[in-house]
Amino acid sequence: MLQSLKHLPPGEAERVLSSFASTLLPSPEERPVAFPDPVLAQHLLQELSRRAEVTRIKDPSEVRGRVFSVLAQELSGYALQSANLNEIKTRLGNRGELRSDYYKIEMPPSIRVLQKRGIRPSHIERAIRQPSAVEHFSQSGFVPQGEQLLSMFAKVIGSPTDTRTFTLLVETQRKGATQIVLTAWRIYHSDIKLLSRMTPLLILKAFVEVFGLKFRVGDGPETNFLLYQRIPIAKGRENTNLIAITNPERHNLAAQNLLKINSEGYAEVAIAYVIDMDTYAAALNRHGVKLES
Amino acid sequence: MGNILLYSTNVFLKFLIQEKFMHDIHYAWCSEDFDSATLPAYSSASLVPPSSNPADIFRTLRKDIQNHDSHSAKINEQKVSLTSRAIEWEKSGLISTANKDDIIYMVNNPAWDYWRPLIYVIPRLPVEKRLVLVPMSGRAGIGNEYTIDDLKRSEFEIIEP
Repeated sequence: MLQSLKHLPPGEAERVLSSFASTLLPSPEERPVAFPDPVLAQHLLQELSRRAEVTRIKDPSEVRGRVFSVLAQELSGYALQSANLNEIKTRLGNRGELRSDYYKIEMPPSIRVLQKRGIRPSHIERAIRQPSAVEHFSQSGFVPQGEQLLSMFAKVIGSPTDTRTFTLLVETQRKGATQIVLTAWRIYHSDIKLLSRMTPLLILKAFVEVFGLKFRVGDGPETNFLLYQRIPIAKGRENTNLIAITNPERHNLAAQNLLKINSEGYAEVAIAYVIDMDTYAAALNRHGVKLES
Repeated sequence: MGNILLYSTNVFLKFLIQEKFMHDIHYAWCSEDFDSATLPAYSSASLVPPSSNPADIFRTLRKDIQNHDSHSAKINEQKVSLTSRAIEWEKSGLISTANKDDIIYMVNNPAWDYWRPLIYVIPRLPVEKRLVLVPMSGRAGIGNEYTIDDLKRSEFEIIEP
């Protein structure tokens, strides 16, 4: 907190500092609003400059950058003084607006199976903390409650020209400031049809195009991928044959889905797809990754 | 009337905040040319200095992000500007206190990537009547600069080279 403002109550200090900050910013007004107390303005600028340690810096741009950096910290300190940071992080987390490395990561015991695909927890953590690309999803018009909120993190491993390059794609469920890992896939670029600009969702869809099996949820149409769909379920079918998978060769498979039945008789599917694990294991094997049994 | 397009360089985080918290209505400070340095030396449009030239702002931001320059004047100026705006919006009842808190937290704790520059390309004709010419005292040079404070998302394209 600034000495120059210590005589003011916090709300007033926030208002004064914000008004002072406006005088330092470029203004499109004919007559920018002047700060009413020139002596206080002088004290504030001196104190901020001292805190920014700019006396020996010659570059005016760096001086400005350092002073603004201290000013931003102070301004946010005053403005968030009575705010609950955990509540802010929960709101931002639910909306997918929290930066990736601020999320807490939860790895349920069930994801141990991923180690068999050559994916360790440390790989997953790195993909979430330092992703090459990330996408956060929620159903349109849906108030984020952490029930069916999805995120996808993609970490590219290798150079674009290398045929061994793959994307580690991690699928998670967001609950406030926590990311719960649902699954992860090593997706070799040479196995899928790459477009010039690939988002995590497009990479997953391209992967499902190659390794996915057709399925049907409830009375919905046959498909290989669902994201945020509402599908009618016939009465009495709520618990049996909810997902019918087309698997004529009886391959091993991994059904990945996050869905719930609502009281109106609909399946609210956040995501659903089914991977043919025999075909995928054979592809991984070609890339030198032996799927452990 | 000048050029048929206007250009404005804005950081992604500012775009995101206006989209989410200001009903997708955007404020932009714009110029008639993307890069005044490429214009004939004796035209007034070439006299938009680097601090207001969209191309220079774009290059400066991109360099600062690549270098993770925590003393970047442009980025820290944006932090102060967006924080002040959030305080102002809350005071005038445009946003709730929770929204103000969320904006300020985001502005002060973003991923580097959130400072990446976006170029707004604005067809001039539909917004002509709402353009406000920045007076000479507010400009860094004598080339024309404008502000528009109620730009709808459908009124501009975003280029992210």
